[in-house]
Amino acid sequence: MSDQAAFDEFYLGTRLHLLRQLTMMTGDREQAADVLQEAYARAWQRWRRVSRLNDPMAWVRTVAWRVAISQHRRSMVASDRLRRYFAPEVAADPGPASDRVLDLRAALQLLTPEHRRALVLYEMCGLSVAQVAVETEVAEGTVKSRLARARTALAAALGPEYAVVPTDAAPEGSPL
Amino acid sequence: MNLAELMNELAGDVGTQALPEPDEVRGVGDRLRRRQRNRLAAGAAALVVAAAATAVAVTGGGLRSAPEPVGPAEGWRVVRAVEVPGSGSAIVGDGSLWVVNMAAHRLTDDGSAPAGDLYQLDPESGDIVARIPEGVGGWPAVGGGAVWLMTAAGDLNVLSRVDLATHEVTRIKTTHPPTLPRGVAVVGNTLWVASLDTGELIVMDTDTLDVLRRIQLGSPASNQAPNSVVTDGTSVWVADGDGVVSRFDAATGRETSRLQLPASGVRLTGIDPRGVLYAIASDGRTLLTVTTGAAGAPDEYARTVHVGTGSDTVLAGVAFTDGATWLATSSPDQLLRMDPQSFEITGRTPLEGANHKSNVPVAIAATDDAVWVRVDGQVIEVAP
Repeated sequence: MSDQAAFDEFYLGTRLHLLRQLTMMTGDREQAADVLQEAYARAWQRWRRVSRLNDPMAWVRTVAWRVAISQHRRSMVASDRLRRYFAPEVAADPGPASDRVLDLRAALQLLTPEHRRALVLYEMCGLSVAQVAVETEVAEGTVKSRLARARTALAAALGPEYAVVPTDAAPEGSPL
Repeated sequence: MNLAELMNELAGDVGTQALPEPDEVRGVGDRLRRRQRNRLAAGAAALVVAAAATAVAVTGGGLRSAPEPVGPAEGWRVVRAVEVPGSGSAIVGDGSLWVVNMAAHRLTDDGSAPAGDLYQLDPESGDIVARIPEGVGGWPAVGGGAVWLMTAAGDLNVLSRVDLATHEVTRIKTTHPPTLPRGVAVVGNTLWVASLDTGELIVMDTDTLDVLRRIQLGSPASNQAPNSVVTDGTSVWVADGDGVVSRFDAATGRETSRLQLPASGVRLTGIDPRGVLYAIASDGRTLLTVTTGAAGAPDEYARTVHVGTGSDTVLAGVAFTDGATWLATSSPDQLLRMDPQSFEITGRTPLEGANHKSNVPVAIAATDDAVWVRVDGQVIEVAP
């Protein structure tokens, strides 16, 4: 298969998953689409190398996240250092959804970007704690801590059952 | 319904309508690739005839001192210490705090790259969000989509470009044989490189790294070579070994002002939001300030400030928050707060570590409302 065909297949096969993941991470579907396009373009720019990685999708996701964070931090400085990153667009345009989903939209706004990123990677992408640690370039203990804090915050909106932390994501020293 | 199912349901209405077709994505990628090729070619094109190394003259001057600080900077204290290995420079840019571990200027075991790392921190949370191997160097600048570092490791003497998005590190030789650039300033998509060893100010395109212009300021032997460079986004200032500060219009490259400071061997260290230029004299503890005006107006020497009475006091750097200028010094290890209008030192915060561990500052950076001081093994946040 030619490089071009392989890239097109990769792009068409992964873009929907990545767009959904990044929309959840950033809370802004337009920004997610924008940064994802840039990340895929950068992947094509280096396709010989990226295509040989164990997980090219993770590479694209990471680059897209960095572009999003970079864009947002610049806008945050311009807007007098807003306390929270990203005001989720999905909250303003909820569309038909269950009460639980609406609660989740609102609850996600309360998380920091890094907590939201860890949660999306762990829950939506199905990565292990170790894999989340590698992708986010932090220690596993930090990932566990972020997941626990994210779940605690979500449980306040969704119910205590959502505070339960899976065994492999329990913070070190926790009773789980 | 578990959390994963709930999140997938929430994201379920997101479709790919907003995403372009594959050929459009590849088109953008192809343009990026061409830029990168040009950038690599520019590395070779930038090879210039090397000049003899220069020695920066060190002479004294009739200088005035500011009063010694009388007390702590009101309300400001060490609020956080983040573990960052090693020692090196620090800078705030593109919404992040960038901290270098120089790894003692060593190379990797195979000798192919600098052994240290660049750390990206979120200044709000203090979290380390990325570690970028080989992103090593001093006199950092951020702009044009990259962090720029002057890298001296092993026999490497290059300019390093760390892409903000991909974290890819590109090393660029700016002279032949390679010599260490003494700093860069980014204005829009132009990069102004101070090349002490050739006596040039080299203007490059930040994307392609094409050399757009070379401004010969003098031979290194005559002390007129540029040893540092700063910008306010419109003008570019360089200093030389004779203590002369020259100002250039960034749009035209034309010199618009030239000022002799009352000290030689000064190095420019920053410009505050009010347009006051700061330079550190060769004794390491004397700060000179220059008031700059609108483009075309002459710059004026303003004030000299001695930051320490001891002969071993060394100024690690200058940074600016809203309404204050901050100076970090070693011996004593402290953070000084300076009034940016009167240039009086109005307070100081000791940088003592835990258990009276020495915290020698080596670099300083600031966001609008906090100061970050790089010390061995840590970066310390000082805030109200």
